[in-house]
Amino acid sequence: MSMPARTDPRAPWPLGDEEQTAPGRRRAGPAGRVLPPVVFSLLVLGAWQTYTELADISPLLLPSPWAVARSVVANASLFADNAIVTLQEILLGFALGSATGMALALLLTSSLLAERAVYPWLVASQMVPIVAVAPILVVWFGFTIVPKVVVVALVCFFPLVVNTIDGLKSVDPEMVRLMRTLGMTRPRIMRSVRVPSALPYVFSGLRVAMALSVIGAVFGEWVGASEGLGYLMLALNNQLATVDLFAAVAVLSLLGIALFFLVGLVERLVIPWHHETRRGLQQ
Amino acid sequence: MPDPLVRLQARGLAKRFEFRGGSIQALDGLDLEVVDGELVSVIGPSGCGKSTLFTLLAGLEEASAGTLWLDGERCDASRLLGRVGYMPQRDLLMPWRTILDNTTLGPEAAGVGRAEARRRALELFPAFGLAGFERRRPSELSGGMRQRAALLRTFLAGREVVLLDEPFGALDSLTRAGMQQWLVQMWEEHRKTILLVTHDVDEALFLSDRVYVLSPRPGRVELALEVDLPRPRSYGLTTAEPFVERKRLLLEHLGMALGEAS
Repeated sequence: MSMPARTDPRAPWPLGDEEQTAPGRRRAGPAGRVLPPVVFSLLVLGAWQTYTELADISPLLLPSPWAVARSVVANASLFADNAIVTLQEILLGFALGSATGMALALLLTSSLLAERAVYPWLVASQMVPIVAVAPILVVWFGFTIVPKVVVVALVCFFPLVVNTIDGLKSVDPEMVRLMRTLGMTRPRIMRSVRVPSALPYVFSGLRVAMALSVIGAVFGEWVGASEGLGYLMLALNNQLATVDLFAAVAVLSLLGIALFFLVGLVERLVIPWHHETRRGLQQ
Repeated sequence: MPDPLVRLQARGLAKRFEFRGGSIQALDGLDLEVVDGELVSVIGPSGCGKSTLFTLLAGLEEASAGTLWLDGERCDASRLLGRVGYMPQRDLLMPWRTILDNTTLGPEAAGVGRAEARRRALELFPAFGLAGFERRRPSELSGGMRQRAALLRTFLAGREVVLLDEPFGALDSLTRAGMQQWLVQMWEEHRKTILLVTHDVDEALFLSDRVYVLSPRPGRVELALEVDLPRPRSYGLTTAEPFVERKRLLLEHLGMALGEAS
């Protein structure tokens, strides 16, 4: 056990072998990220296109991707106008539902009694089919944006409650004990330890909620609306305009994908440490 | 009333954990004391209640029986909490904070402004071998560096008595040897009052002024050995005759303790 001679503790650390373990990050470049989904999508669309052409499928039953794409371009302004309506419903409902969900989770974790009393109701609220409730919402709120926003909020709020509660409980109890020995008060531990530990869980909930909220908005429009992508789909379906219906679905999908990745982007900005830690663990 | 120089003293300390279907007597009738500026170690077989002892001394849990004094004042758990520094086995650095912001948690909790807390921390970074890593996150550091960051966080909290629970237990032996050497030099310079839990006899002897050997559960002090080896100490000491003699004595007591357990 020979040690380098060292008398001044302020001298640089003597063991040069262990400075920074994080090795060069093996991150896929932009090409590595974009290429696989693009290639895969082209393969799927190509197969689809070839099939509809070779088998001579009627566009009323299954339109080819190319025909759908042309419809999107041809009806661009119609789709854009309706997409904006649906987007508003999604964003308002998502914000309302997520905020309510997180607030409720904070409330429930601060009181075991409240959590025990209310939790069954939370689960029960998810057993109620939205299809059954949506018409009543229209009766209550009329043909306005409100019933759609409420439907979206209803589907968003549950994943947020569950994930936020799990996140707030996921905190390392040892960490809480350590903070107590450092003299931290309970509210401060909540702010400095519990909430940051919960954020990765919250963002998982937000991503699920965002995906659900797109469907929620369409549902809300089906029950009673005069505009929006969901309304448009219903109308096109009734007219047997299958190509344009597929085009509306494509626009909605693109909107949903964009929103989903937007949440992921915000997550990377808000909790960059989470991804760094995960990457560190994978190495 | 203990001697005024005695910072921390325990008399007849006991801890019993009750749970459904039984109870465990973790500690029973434990006596120890730490004098101002001393570095004292506690060693014992695994499961002898070393970590339980620390949760009592840190004020995280109430003792079932016995008395604790801090600076001559009789204290229950609520009076100890926040006055005794405590470093658990794991570094428990917050992954969302930079190394610098992890080390300032103590002053922050005490209401010191962020700028001032950072200034105090930055002064210590070179001595802790962390210069240049202030803005890094814990996941980017090696085990030894993370442990030093945790130590820095503990020392910056400014407690008079500091408890270290197997601080180097998870490190490889070479890194651990370096950390021990470094800790002993830091301590000889600053003379903090430190109580250290370890299962490493060499570490206990090399670092300490006194070593307490605990018995198997329920933990009691089996032997209190004054380590009157000269300071400053260097690693050459660990192979010298006086060191080996004391090591043999400690191992005998530990062996006896282990023998009783089986």
